[in-house]
Amino acid sequence: MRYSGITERDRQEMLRVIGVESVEDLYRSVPQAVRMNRPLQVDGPLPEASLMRRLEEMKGPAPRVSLVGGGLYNHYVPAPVDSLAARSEWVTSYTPYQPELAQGTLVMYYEFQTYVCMLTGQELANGGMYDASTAMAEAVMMARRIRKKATDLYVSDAVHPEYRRVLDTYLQFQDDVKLHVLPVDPETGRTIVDIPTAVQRDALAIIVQSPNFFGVIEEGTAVADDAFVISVCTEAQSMALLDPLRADIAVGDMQSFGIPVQLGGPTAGFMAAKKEHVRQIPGRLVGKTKDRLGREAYCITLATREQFIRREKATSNICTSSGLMCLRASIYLSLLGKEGLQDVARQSARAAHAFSEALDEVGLKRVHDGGFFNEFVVDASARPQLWEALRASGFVMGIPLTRWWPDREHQYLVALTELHYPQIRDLIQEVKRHAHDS
Amino acid sequence: MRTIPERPIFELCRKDKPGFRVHTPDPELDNVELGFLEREDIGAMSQATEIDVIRHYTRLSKFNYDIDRGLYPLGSCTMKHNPRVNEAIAADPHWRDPHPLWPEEFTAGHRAIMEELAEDLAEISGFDHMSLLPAAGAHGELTAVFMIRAYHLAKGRDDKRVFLIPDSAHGTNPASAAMAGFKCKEVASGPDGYLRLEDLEPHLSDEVAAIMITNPNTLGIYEREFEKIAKAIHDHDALVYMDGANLNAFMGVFQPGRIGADVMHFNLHKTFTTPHGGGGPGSGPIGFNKALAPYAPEAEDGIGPVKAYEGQWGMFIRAWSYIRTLGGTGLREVSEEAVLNANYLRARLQDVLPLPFDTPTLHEVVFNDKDLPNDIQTGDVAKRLIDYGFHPPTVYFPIHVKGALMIEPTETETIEELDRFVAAMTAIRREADEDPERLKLAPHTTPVSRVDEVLAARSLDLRWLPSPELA
Repeated sequence: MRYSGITERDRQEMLRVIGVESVEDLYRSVPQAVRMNRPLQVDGPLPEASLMRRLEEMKGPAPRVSLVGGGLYNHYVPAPVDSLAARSEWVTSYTPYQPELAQGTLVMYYEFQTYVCMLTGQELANGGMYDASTAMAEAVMMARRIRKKATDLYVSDAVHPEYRRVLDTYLQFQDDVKLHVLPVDPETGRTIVDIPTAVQRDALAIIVQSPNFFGVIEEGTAVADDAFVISVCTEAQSMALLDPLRADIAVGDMQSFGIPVQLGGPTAGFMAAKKEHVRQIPGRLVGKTKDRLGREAYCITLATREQFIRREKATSNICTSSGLMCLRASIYLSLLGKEGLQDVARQSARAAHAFSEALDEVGLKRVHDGGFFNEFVVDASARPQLWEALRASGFVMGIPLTRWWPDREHQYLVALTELHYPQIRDLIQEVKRHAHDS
Repeated sequence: MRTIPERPIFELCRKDKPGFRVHTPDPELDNVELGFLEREDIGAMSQATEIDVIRHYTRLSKFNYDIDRGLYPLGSCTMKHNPRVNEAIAADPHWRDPHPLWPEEFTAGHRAIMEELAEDLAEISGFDHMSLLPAAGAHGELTAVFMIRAYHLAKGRDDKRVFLIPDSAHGTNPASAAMAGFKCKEVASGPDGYLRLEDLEPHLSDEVAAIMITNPNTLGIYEREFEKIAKAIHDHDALVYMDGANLNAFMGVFQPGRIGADVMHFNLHKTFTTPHGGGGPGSGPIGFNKALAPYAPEAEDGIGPVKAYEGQWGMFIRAWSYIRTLGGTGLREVSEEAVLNANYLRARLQDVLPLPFDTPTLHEVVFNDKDLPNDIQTGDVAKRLIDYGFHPPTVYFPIHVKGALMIEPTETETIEELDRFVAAMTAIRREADEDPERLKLAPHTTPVSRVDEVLAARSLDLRWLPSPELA
């Protein structure tokens, strides 16, 4: 067997030490009646180069241009991120339960927590969640622990529809929670909070995403100052330029910071909150402390919230989370800093705004007039063949919104990033050429 | 090893350092109006130079123990070798960069790999249905728990609210059950370390929704009454959840789906070599039988998605690659050698450490600290192992064994590495008699000595803040 270092001689020696005749004897506690009596039918074994060849044969076409976002964005990944994050001390280590052998990972989590606080403007952050969709669902569970009696949950219709489906899954057995959807202004694309202040104050939480799923920046919404707000951010790069929403719990995804799209996973969800909620936050927390000799050291702390101590009374069942993806985000942010991050975020936004203007010139209007960052909805009904024509040539101009809203025919969610910034004129020219043909 | 403390990266960051730039500015494009006000304050975020970043994260990495350095015998964690070819494949931009919402012609290869992986997991586990969606083992448990609740509700059984959970279970089991509103009832294991039907029977009632059972259990012991227990559970219209964390013990030996389990999760980051990454990412697909299929996340009237998009693709392709590298016979040999290695360690260590159960074990074995001299405890042995160059085993788990030391070597260790570990344990046992202080103050060779976890919880410091002169 590949990856085994046990020779036949070793095997005989080991069996002798154990005092059995064969490996079969070691399975004597497994009754014959439950045994498999045939080999497993899976493909292989394949030597390395044959495996590689097999994969080459499975490769299909890839698009030339992708303006697809919707919560996952192709951004430039600086070379040091891949290089550092490939070190086996990061890749092949376990969750840092033995702090003396894991100070590297522990300092990294402490830094990640700090970066999340800086970006969200919050006081407290955990060491990562699976992704933003599960972080949002866990934020609602956390709100339930904080606001025990509240049952009315308000979710903006402009929160990522896939996240809302995940939330529905998590809430389906919480019979007392009443879910209300806050409508979106068809003109501005912003959420309308048309509920009385007193109702807001008593609500379990109000969930708002900014920039929202339609790419529109949520500003000037009438959320009451004392309402319990869960904010969601799917395009972390926007946090470089936009002030965070006022929130009691802030969740989102760090995927934009050095983490490839990977068909949607793994990414690195984050969760931040006010300090007073520290005992209700799920997931790992790393804290600074001292060692026996009084030196600075780090360890997992407040583990009494966690499943391996607290079992059914834990704040969550979460265990293995997103460590290596948190590392990538931390390296990315350390390299870019505030200036580099704002610089690259402006390039994304400018590419998107230039593209939006160009579409407008060929009769493809933005659906909303609210401000946006790097993503927007375009109405292509004036050129109904355009999207398909581009797709056929390997140019995917966004996500058809009919996937979630059947009545939004010919509406596409279009995202651009800094990767499109240097080629924006070519992209615009190509779209204009196709637009005139379709 | 460098022992100067490595301060958080923020202390290497300064506003006037040259930062990373992605593209040359385009002056014409930079005239485009953005129409929003830019944020001023991002805490104290600034940048470090590339060499500072490289050195910081390289130095930090050297403070970590990793599987590439040596034996990582954490019980229940299956820390085996992470093959490099899997990493190379997963990093190929063709496989790494696609978006789940691209038109399907651009991801056909990805879908094919996911389908093949699901078929392989079905074959290995004996379940006909599979969901790859859950993001980690505990997330797979949660998905299954939701499905179990939906299954009973569809039968009009809102009263089925109790989960039976053995005292040897992973902490995630009761935590997952509680998240779907179930009450957990703990069942004590029998005197030989496995669950007996007679101990379970008093807990059986119409209110029982399911049992969560790890097999082999966290002592490494095969649950020899598994089929009988499954039948008794089914007779009460309840379901059997099998925690698949210990799959590494039995690939090709038995199929849980054929011997009474209704649903089980896989840890691709344990059995199928996707790296643990210092705490993730993981991947926790679940396999289940026909009765539960209508409630799957993907089913039309199922519980709905537990995660956006498709699951942990980056882990799928690694696991797919691993399965193909080994083939069916190779997977069976993985389990056999994992069991061989664990039993070899057990045989060589049973005169060194107390063994609380004499029952045969498979891929892992639990010792404890009973009767160790000079009040030496499990934690002391574990910390002293670090000085001998090894990562400690899992300690103080399972919780029903006082002072447990849980050892899982995995199949990728050689006899030489196992012998070195035995020699270290033997030396530590001698020190327990002759020089107990050395154990109690261990470790002595790490960048930091024993860490004060009580202080960390008492005076919480969870984020870096600039000192006044830096602010």
